[in-house]
Amino acid sequence: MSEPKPRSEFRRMMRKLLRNPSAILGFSLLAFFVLVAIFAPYIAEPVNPQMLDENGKPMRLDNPYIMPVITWSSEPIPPSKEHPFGMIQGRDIFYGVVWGTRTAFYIGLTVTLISTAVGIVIGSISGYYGGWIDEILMRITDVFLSIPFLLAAMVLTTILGNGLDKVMIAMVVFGWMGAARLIRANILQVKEEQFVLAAKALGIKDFFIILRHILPNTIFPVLIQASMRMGSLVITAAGLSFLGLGAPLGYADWGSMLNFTRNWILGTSGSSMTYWYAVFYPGMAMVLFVLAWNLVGDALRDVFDPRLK
Amino acid sequence: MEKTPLLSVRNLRTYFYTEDGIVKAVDGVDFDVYEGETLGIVGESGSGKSVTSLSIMRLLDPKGKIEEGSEIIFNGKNLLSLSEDEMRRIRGNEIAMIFQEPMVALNPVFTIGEQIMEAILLHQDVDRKTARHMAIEMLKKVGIPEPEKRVDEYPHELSGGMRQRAMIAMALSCRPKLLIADEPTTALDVTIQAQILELMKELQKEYGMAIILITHDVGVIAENADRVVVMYGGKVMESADVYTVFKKPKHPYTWGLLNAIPRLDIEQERLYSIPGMVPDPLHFPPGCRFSNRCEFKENRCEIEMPDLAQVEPGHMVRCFYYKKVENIHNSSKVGGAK
Repeated sequence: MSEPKPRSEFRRMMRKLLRNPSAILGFSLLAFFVLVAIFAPYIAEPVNPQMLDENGKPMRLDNPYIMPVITWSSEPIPPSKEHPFGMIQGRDIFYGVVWGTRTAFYIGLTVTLISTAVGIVIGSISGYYGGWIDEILMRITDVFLSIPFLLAAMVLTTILGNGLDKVMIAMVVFGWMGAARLIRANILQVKEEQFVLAAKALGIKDFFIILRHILPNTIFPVLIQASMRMGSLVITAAGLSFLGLGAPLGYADWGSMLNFTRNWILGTSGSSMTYWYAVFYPGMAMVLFVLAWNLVGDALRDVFDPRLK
Repeated sequence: MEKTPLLSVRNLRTYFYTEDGIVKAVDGVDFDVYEGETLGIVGESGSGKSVTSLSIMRLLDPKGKIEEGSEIIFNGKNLLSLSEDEMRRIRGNEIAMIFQEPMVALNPVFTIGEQIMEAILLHQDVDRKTARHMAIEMLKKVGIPEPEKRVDEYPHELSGGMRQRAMIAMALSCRPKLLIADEPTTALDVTIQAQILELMKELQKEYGMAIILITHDVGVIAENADRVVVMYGGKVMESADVYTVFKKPKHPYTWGLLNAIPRLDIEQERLYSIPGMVPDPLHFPPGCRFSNRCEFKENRCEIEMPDLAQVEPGHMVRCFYYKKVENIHNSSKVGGAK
């Protein structure tokens, strides 16, 4: 009797997910990106066809995330059989889009995980203890919230120096507030529940009360919010890369690839669509990536939000 | 000759500092609890009985403060002078508590076994396997059928009565010397109520623990308590052994409470009710706090607060004119209430 219950709950959730077309679309897109990221070395082999080793085979790249320069033509080269997405700045766009998927996941997951963790810690302390601790932490949160995110991230990246890791640090520093506020609000509600008082009456330490009794009852909205933010973080990172603050030149990152197109984005005189492929493929990858996370976040909210059950 | 009490509360004053002013939720409460006995604390909502129990556990919310000069002596130690760490070792281990709403007093995301084990692992030096075994043993003891299976169930899979049994198992898992039961049966059906109270009595006998039974239900007190403390407006109005309180109450408030109980043996048109309402704790009447509702009051009651005075051995009453209530007993042939 006790076994089938959680499973039927799980099955109910799965049924609900499968009945929702946008959820299916979101999860399929996400699965697609995951597969591309995992199999990137097979989809776009990390070799430089211009440089041959002693056996006459193309040499493997030291760092597969640095897109190899395969032609010295500075003008974008339209899609061809060898280079299905075309080339820009001498680099294969297809290669960049494929390996950029890994970069996107890397940035998104790392920043989301760390900033959510920071938010959970600050929000938990603030909500659980209340009083002046809450007051101080929430005012600090307000200060961080009052600074425009993109501007703050740009300034901090400039101070720290260029590089993907610096961008990520900047995004964590200015990206934890949403999670902190959300978890605080939820904790304020849950900590009034009697089971928290009951746990205290058993002599359980505050740390374990927060960790075992409060957080598991409040964590879902935060996870949903985090999945929604995954997409937007990747856009922000791309934006910073586009501005030249993020990934180094030639890094397989969708934002830096768009950076290459700055000179070509308007096309040639009279035909603005001449270099469409330079913008379209990296841009499309980004749009679909964000869409995937947003749909997944929506689907999770629908499944877990008791009010929508 | 005199036994030393397990718990003695002296001049307990718990004030809440709110934006509207100081709420004197508990204002000078004294009582003793002896080993193995059940002390009933009875009073309406807002009388301070729950705040009293939370004060003993030191689990008040941050606005509430136990005032200087209050004493809660448990087993020879003043709980109010212990550090938070020392207090935590007492909670759940020596003093345990069960709550009114078994529906919400268990954490919905953990199995009841995990929750009982948490308390055991915290206070006793045993490994998880032993703790689990002890949890099952405890569930068996509180009369939960098929404890080996129930131990892995979540609170929502149990009925209200079962959950309260699980709560009791959790509270008693470390064999506390004192169990504080705050309205333990109020949220349950009457039939389940009786079962739970019966269970508590059995376990009390087995473990030899003392119980503070807090309730607004005079019937529950009559059935289960050895001695009774009647609280009103944050003060003790009357305290005596259960027989005395029910047969010969001397405080007008106790008298009113007992008259408000429907009785099968007397034909009654309308049930008696104490006139007026429980006063707002920010605006107690001056003098005796019951004076604005008292049927026996005189001018003096509105000016001066009477002391809790011993009127006969073991019987304390806080009233200037308790003799008036006595006279009613004497004139009425029915005895007891009315």
